[in-house]
Amino acid sequence: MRVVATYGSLIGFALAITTALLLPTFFHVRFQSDALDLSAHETSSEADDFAYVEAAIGRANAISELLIETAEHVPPSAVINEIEFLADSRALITTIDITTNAGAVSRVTMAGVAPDRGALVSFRDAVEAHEYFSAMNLPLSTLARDTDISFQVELTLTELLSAPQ
Amino acid sequence: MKARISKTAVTLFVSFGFLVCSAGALLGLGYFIETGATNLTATAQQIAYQQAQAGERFETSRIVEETVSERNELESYVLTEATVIDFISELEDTAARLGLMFSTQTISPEETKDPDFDLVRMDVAFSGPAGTVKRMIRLIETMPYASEVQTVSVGVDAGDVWRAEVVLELDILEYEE
Repeated sequence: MRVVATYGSLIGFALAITTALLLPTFFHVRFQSDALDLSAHETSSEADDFAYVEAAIGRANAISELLIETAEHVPPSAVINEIEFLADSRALITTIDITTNAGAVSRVTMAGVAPDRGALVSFRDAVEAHEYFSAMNLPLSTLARDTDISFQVELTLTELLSAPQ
Repeated sequence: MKARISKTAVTLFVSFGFLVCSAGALLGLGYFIETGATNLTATAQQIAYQQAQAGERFETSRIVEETVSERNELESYVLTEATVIDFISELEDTAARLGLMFSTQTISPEETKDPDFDLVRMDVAFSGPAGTVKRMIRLIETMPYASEVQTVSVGVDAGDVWRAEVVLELDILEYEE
């Protein structure tokens, strides 16, 4: 029993010394861990400050996308000018209504008065020969009169008007 | 003899207790050191990752600061709630300078799915000499803002006097402060 007690004491003593020797390691790990936790927290705070940069970039990207998506098309004013030019002495245009879709002219209707049937047909032929328009379908009823013919038509448009320039 | 046994038993008991306590302390300390080391490694990796990100963030911040004027110019092409009133005034002033009768018929918000922009529909009417009316239409079409002409209707009032009605959609930049 004395031998067991002696060995027990010796082993216990050895373990106690080992424990004591490990104490500096324990404190070193502990202090390092605390220091790194603090550093990690500070770095995380810096990430929060980055939010304004992200917002600025996001806004610039959104505007750029919007402007890039805004394709150039034949403007309504160009269509008005061309119709006016084609009408010339052939007809007096009283109204022109233009509708666009996604920036491109998608529908053109107009009304006017032609001095006579020949002038109206000539105007129609000129319109149909233009690169913007493929057809101007005159109702037969408009051709019933010989002079001062009022007309109201919708023009059939070519793909040139819907294509980006 | 009995006393010797009792003394030896006490010594053995104390020795065993000392052994158990020492072993417990050693195991506990070993566990704490192991756990702490694992956490230390994880935190160090996290910091390394965050520092790498911080480097990229610094570079991005630098670029953002260097492009302030470019971004301001970009933003000048889009109206905001603050500048849309100025825009309308500018439009009215331009029409007045050209000698046109100008009026803003309606201004109404439109539904949009874009989270960055609001959409405003604006209906304006003006009348005057044909050439000037056409010039005004052209000005509206080419104004340097994100906008889209929806409809244009022109009609002859009398002789060379035209009236026009233009409906346009304006993209209004939303500000998130």
